[in-house]
Amino acid sequence: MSLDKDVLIQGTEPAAGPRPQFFDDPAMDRVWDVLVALTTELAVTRTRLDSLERILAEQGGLPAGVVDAWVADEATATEQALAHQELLTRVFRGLLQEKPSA
Amino acid sequence: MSAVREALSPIPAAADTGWLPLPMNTMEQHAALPTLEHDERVRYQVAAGMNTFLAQRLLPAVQRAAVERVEPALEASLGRPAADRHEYRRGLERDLTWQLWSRLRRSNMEMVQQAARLTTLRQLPDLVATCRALNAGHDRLTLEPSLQPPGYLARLHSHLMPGGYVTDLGEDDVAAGATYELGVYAVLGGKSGPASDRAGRATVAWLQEHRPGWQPKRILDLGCGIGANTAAIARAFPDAEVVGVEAGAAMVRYGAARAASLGIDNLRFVQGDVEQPPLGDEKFDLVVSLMVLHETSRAALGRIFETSQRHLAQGGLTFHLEQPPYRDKPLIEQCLRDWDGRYNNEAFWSSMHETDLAEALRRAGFAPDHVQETEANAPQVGAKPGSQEDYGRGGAWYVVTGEKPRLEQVRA
Repeated sequence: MSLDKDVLIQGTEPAAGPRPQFFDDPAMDRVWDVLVALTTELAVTRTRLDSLERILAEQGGLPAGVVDAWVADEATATEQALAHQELLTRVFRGLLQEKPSA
Repeated sequence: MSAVREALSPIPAAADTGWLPLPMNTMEQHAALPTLEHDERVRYQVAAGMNTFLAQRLLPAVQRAAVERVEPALEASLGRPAADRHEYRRGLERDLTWQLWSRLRRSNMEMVQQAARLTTLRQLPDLVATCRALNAGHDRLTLEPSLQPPGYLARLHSHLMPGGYVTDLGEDDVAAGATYELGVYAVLGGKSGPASDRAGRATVAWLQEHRPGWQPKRILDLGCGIGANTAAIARAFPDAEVVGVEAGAAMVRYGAARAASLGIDNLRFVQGDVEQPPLGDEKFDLVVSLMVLHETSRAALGRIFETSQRHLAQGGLTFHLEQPPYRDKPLIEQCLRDWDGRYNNEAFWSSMHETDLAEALRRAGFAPDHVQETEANAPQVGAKPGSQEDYGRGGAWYVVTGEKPRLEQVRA
């Protein structure tokens, strides 16, 4: 489902307040900001595919709107949450492996 | 290989799923809640998973970097250890691990709040119509169209929620309330309970332990938001009349509709400034504020406590629940707890921790021996003893209480 243009414009107004810079180079802050969003969207896409596969297996077909109406049961939601942790571990492996004393 | 394994923090066993965030459909359902499509539900759950990842998996690396890199560097440059959290933070801010962890935490927070705003705005006409219909069936909502909201709420949008609490888009707008409810659930991964009311339940648990059998007749919640915690108190004291005061019109409209849909009929919402609520000379047996003070200001704090004193009935109790004070905590922990104050638009969070809240309550007119510092808690969903705390967003709360004695007690 795609958002109405006016909603998109109104909905991307930032919260009032300062925007911190964590790195010396502000470009680094921007790149990481984008990376977080991209990672999330990748996880959302992977989960949608996973949901689709499950629905197809369950129903042998895919009527319109059925993915958005489908809600993961508790066990599936847990499996999908674990998959998110796996994806985050893959994407941010370098951070986890960093040796502070190195 | 062994160095890599050493540096990786352990993942809990697969059978232990209590550390994972809960999916959005575990929220308490009510008619005013925005509908979520598949990708919206998952996006919130992924963002909640990112917070879990940052708190459970990456935070140990930050803590290691602090000990192994930041502290020696500070000692080398200062000729002594850091004296306070401000010096320590300046050391952390030069460290790559802290920079990355902070960047991810901030970006994730911005993203989830922006997502909640978009979910709400795309269906706002429907939400407005639903809330209007729910609120037409009762008289438990009082609006104050001429209210000038406090500057601190307009200048800084708390926890990065676009529009903050006090933006009113007109036409019976409820966007702030709906955005708030989605954002809180996603940020905390459902750990505050299906109704996001852990602070309210902690208040009830404290009252049951410290004032067993007490049935306050009238209860006032200052800064009630959408009334999630207020509803927990109203549910625990069904015979009491409960009033919530909140500055944002879109917050109280949504809160009143939410309460109506949930069948909570002893809770009334009043739009007003908690420093000077439009309550005339109404008195209450219990006056609370729950996780509100850190979003105000130093000047407001004194006036909120004076409001508590003014509207408290004789024999009543005022109860203010907040983050624990930093005093005596290690500097690294102080810096972690201070993160939301510096980077998550919590206006008064950092300086509140340098304020003696018990002394402030005494200055507002409570007798010194009627002011008490205490702790309140209610279990987090799925939390296990010894699991890594997401500093500032979990754990036990600090509480300061003030009692107003009955007249006969004063005479005696």
